[in-house]
Order: sequence, then C-alpha cells, then structure tokens
Amino acid sequence: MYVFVWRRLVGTALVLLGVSVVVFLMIKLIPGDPAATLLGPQGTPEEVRQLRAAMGLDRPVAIQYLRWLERAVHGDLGTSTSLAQPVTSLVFTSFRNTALLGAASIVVAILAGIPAGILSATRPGSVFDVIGMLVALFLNSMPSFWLGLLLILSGSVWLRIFPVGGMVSIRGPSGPGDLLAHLVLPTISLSAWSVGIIARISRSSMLEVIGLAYVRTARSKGLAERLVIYRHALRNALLPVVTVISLQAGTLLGGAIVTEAIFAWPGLGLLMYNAIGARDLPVILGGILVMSAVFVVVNAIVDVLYVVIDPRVRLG
Amino acid sequence: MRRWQVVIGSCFVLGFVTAAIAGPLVAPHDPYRVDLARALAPPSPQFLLGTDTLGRDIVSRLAWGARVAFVVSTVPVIVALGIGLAAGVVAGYAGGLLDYGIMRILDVWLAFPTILLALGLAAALGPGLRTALIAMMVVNAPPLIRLVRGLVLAAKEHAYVEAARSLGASTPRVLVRHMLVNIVSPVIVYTTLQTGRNVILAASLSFLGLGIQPPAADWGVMLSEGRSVIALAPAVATIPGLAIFLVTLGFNLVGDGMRDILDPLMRS
Repeated sequence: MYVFVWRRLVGTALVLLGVSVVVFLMIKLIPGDPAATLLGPQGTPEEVRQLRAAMGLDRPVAIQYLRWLERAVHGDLGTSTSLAQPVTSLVFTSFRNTALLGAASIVVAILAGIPAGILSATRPGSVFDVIGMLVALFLNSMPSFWLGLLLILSGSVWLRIFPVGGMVSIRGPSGPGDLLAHLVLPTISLSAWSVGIIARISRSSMLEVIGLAYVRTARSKGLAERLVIYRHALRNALLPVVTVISLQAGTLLGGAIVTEAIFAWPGLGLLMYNAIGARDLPVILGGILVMSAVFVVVNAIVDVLYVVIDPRVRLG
Repeated sequence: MRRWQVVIGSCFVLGFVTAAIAGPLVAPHDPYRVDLARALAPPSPQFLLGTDTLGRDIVSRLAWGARVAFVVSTVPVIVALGIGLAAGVVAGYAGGLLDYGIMRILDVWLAFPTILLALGLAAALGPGLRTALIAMMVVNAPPLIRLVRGLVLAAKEHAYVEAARSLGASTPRVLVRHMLVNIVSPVIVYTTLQTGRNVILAASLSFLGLGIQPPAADWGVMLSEGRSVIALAPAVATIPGLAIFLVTLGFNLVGDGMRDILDPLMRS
C-alpha cells in the first residue's frame, strides 16, 4: 500500500515537472524577441543585445527553463503586462472565487448526477430512464456559454429572479443570501456537463454491477431489493464514478473561464478571459500553470483515496 | 431505441454536412454586408431570422458558419486520427522503451484540461483559424494515441494474431489486415464523439477571442458578438448556440448509439 502511494506521489511530481516544461515551451512559442518587444522601436541592436544578456535569453534553452522554474517555484510568475501587478498575487486572490464556484458545481453535479443514474439503472427502459438519459445527453451536447446565456435570459432578464452577473450586489442587501443568489446561475451553467456525464457513468456502472453473480446471490437469499441495490450493489457501482468525478476537476477549471466570463464572476477564469483580451501572456500562462497543477494534484489525491475505498487496489 | 438514436443523430449530422456544402451557395444575402440602418431587424420574409448588430443577415451568416464549423471540427480530428493510429500502433505493438517513452509524454499532455491546452497554444501562437486548427489537433491526438495503443495491446494477445503470425504473415500485414479491422469500431465511435466535442471547442476558442476572428461568419464569433444585445435581441446570440447544440447532439446520438450497437456485450 505504501509502495503504491509512494509511486503515485513520485509520478505526480514528474507529471508536474512535465506540465511546467510544456508551459515554458508555450512561452518560447510566442513569436518575436521579448527583449526587442520590451525596448520597442527605439531600441538599438546593441541595447537589445545587452537586454537579452541581462534577461538570460542568450543562454541555452535548458538553462533558461531551469531559471524560469526556480523563479516559478519561489512564487514569481512574472508581471502582468495589462495590470502591472505580480501574476502570482493576481492568480491566487482570484483563485479563491473560482474554488467556491467549482466546489458548488461539483456538489450539484454529484447530488444530481448519481441519483439520476442509479434510478435510471434500477428501472431500465422506463419513462424515467429514457427521459433521464436524454436529458443527460442534452447536457453533454450544450456549449456552456450558450447555456449561460439562456440562463441569464430566462432567470435574469425575463423572470428577474437572479442577478445578471458578478458576485455581490453593489447596492442593496449583501451577505450570504446575496452571494448565494449570485452563485445559482453560474453553478447551473458550469455543472451541467458534469451532471450529464456523472449520470451516464453511474447508470452504466450500476447496470454492470447488477448483472454480477454476487448481486444475484444477494437477491436469491431473499434480501429486499432496496437492500440489494443500496447496501450491496451501490458501493461497487460508485467506484468508476469516483474516477469520473475527479476528472471533472479539469472540466470545471477549464469551463470556469467561459462561465466566469459570461457571468462576470471575479475568479481566475475571468482574470484569464480579460488577459486574453489584453494579450497579457504572463497572466494567461500563469493561470494555465496553476489550474493544470491543481488538476494534477486533485487527481493524485483521488487516486490515493482509491486505496482507502477499494481494498482490491491495496491488496492487488 | 439505439437504432432510432443513430437514425435521428444521422439526420442532424447529414443536415450539418449539407449546410456546410450547399449553405453558402443558397445563402440569400452576403454574410459580410454591413448595413447599420437595418441593424437588429426582426424576422421578415427578406431576413428570415432577422439581422445582427451590424445589420448582417443571420441566416446567411449561419449558413457560411456551417462550413467553418465543419472544417474546424473535422480536420483536426482526421489529422489526430492519423497520428493516433501511427503512434498508438507503434507503442502498442513494439512495446518496451518506445512505448514507455510515448506513454510518459502522454501523461503530461493529458494532465492539462483540454480547453486550457488549446487556449495556451492559441494565446502563444496568436489568434486565427490556423492557430485554432493546430491547437485542436494537439488536444485531439493524445486520447486517440492512448485508445489505439490500449486496443492494440489487447488485440496482440488474441489467438487470431498468433495464427496469422504463425502462417508467416509479415508485421505490416498482421497490423493492417488482421488487427486494424478488429480495433476499428471503438476508434470510429471515439472519432464521432470527438467531432461533436470539437464543434463546441472551436466555438469556445472563438468565443474567448482566440480562435476565428470577427468579422468571420463563425458560430462562436456570432454568439460572442450577440452577447451584448442579449436582452434586446435574444435571437442574435441564441440561434448560433442552438446550431452548435444540435450539431453536437447529432454526433453524440450517432456515436453513443453506434457504441451500443457495436459492443457485442450490450447487444443482448
């Protein structure tokens, strides 16, 4: 067991290192000489050469990478070109709001997706099953920005129940209730895709488990159907669902950019969306680095948790 | 049920392909002709779905947009399919250090949430159609390599491969004539589903300002431009979104239905 956990940790560290290499290579992909760009048209070739040396751009790429990595590890991801602030502090202050939206979305996705999938699987072919799976497929076919606009249109413009965007009201009552009202529409929009995929995986996983011999045994010894499903089958059926849930971290982080842009939710996604508009590459790449690192770490944690929830991984 | 799903999905996909080919030929107006005097005109016999913020005909822009969406959703996945088959077969069949190396690179590639990887590449290379195509190829290929490798690894153990080899078949012959035909159905299913996802991915890049640029008649661009007038003229932004949804739904219906039909375990 410890060997497994240890191996997974080393693997995670290597993948994180790989992620940093890819982000560094993206920086290198940007056309043009950064030193020349910085000096502008007035810079003489001699000045450009001196600045290149000062910035370390005349060193081999591997050395440049190591220096960049050293700074990144110490929390220096450069300075935002549009906001003139350190990228690290911008990213971390806004990440809190993204984490709140992401957590709300994953909770909704689990609470809506798993019951829908399980109920469908226990009544295959029923009206509930057919409609439920059709809705799940719809949710997996909707672009989130379109769903977001439809939600604003129906919930804010026509029904006037929810605020159009933002996180707190400028005027009027503030507090947890106000925050919750602002959270509803972005959460529905961001969690929609995950609800669909979790429902579909829960259903197929449950169907597979119900067909196994041990479930037949439980049934043939006269157990009530409820006990068979919820005590015996559910535990095993949820294992693949846990993996899919952990993969949703990536979907939610990536999807946050579009969702936060539509609802003006002041998180890392909105920061990156504005940075795209301003061609502020340090913020864009810093955001990608942080989001991807979070995704890798979340998946590693879930993998290790697997050892706890599935004894076969521990023993096998 | 499954058959109906494939039939309905195929109708959507066929409609999309027809629109991509014939749409621009039958579009009633020039999709780029700006006329501020008739901006945000309501639907009329002349402009069936009305006009957008710059007075351009929405129907015509939708029709031209279908062609753009078709190119950006199919080209990357076709290229990725070529890369996936080549690299996946090599990794799965050769095994050893080569396989190990390819898989570790994939570990890193797949560690990025899809949209973020595409976004980073598009941001670094500068926005545009070419960039969007490259970024999408890069994110389409790794899952296909991993899928093909897994299928080849499983197929390698089958008796029919052993039989073909002992009859003296060369490695390329075993791979193409015997293995490839046996692993092709999951690959087709995956490619179909990915094409649908690509329609959304490409539109997302356009929406974020990193893909195809305005004033191009692209569904993502149209949606993004219509956002500012969502309360005033909801159709401008919601109709291109509906088009994206229906096309993606079509590919999902076909891919999902095919998976269940092709999977012998589900056929009962």
